[in-house]
Amino acid sequence: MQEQRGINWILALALLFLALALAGCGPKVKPGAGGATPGENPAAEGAGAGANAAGAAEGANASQDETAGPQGGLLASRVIYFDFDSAVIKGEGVDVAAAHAKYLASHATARVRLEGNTDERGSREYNIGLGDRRAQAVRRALLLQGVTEGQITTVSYGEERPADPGHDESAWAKNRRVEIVYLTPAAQPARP
Amino acid sequence: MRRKTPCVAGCDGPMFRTIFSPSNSPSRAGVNGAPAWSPDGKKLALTLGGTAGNPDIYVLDLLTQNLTRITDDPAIDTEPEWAPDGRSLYFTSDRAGSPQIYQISASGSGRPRRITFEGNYNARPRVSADGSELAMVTLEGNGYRIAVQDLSSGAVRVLSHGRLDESPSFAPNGATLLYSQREGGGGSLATVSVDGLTGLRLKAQQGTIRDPAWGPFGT
Repeated sequence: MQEQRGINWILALALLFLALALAGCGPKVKPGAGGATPGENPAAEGAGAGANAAGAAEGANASQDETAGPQGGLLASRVIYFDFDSAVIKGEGVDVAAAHAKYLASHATARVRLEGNTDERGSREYNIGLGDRRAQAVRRALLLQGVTEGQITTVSYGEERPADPGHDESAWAKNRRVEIVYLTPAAQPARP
Repeated sequence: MRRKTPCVAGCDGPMFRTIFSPSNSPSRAGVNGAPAWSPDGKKLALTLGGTAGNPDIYVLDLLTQNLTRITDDPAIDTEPEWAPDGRSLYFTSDRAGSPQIYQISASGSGRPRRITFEGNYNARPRVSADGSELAMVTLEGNGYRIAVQDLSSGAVRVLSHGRLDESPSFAPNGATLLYSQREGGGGSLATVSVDGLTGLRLKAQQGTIRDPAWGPFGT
């Protein structure tokens, strides 16, 4: 009995260690690695999906592509925020877009999906349009800085996928956003 | 990757038919949404965004599959609603800087006419069965509320008092509106009479309620 428990502990520790080691793969991949993304490594991808399935802190909105793409500096920022009923990229968002544009322009095989979102106020269908306009604003910024059209897809979720489920201005400010999601090459054929 | 594609569902069961899909036409990328049946059931008004992300209103003839572009403006044009006579469409557009409601011929000819002028946010139009009144979501103070505009005089009455009221739907007799409201975490349904004097909240047993629609016979 005692021995059994000991073995279980060792197994648990080994699994935890393995998970940590695999999760660590992401940040180690340098942006300069010829457009390679961690998702190309099936083991790393499996670990990423596992972490999300385990109900990690990201919650229901976590994307399976979250661990993909470049890390470090502004490239670690994957969200651009907007003012109410606006699709104008402002403040730090300008720098975040520029950093991703630079990365994408120098890594021709890297691809992103720009996901436009709004806060919950107003009508749903109008918000679908507004989320689309925000995604397009980021798309245009990337294209102007040398990214090619084939590297970018856009989608609008309107108000349907809030990052913060609250109903006040601080939650709304977090929800008026475009998320930059790096697509792993393996993930692309799965899209209908 | 999920896309929004208009489908038809049978009222008595889960019988779906895709009537218009981006997959059968590569130019149909982007937003496919806000479908609305014409009064005679032969056409569907809908919003298409395209790859450049410019939502405009189109009318799809369901028999011929002919698609007619109704609006062509860099603004967000969406939420088409048929006038009861089927000859014009009401829709939301922010072409003047903020969302307002416009009316345009359903044939695709002519220019849109602006209908709402009060306030900075008027969206999601619904017309009463006799075509005399327009219900919408309006921003009043810091609350999104249900308002009704008399289409002949232009007079506007704000009927609800919530913070996040949405999706008004006229009862077939035009006397009552059904809408959704959000207080706290969930959504519930509410009704209000068109004179704004009586209202009722319909709490859901579970889950969140949104986008109610009244059946054509009101029973």
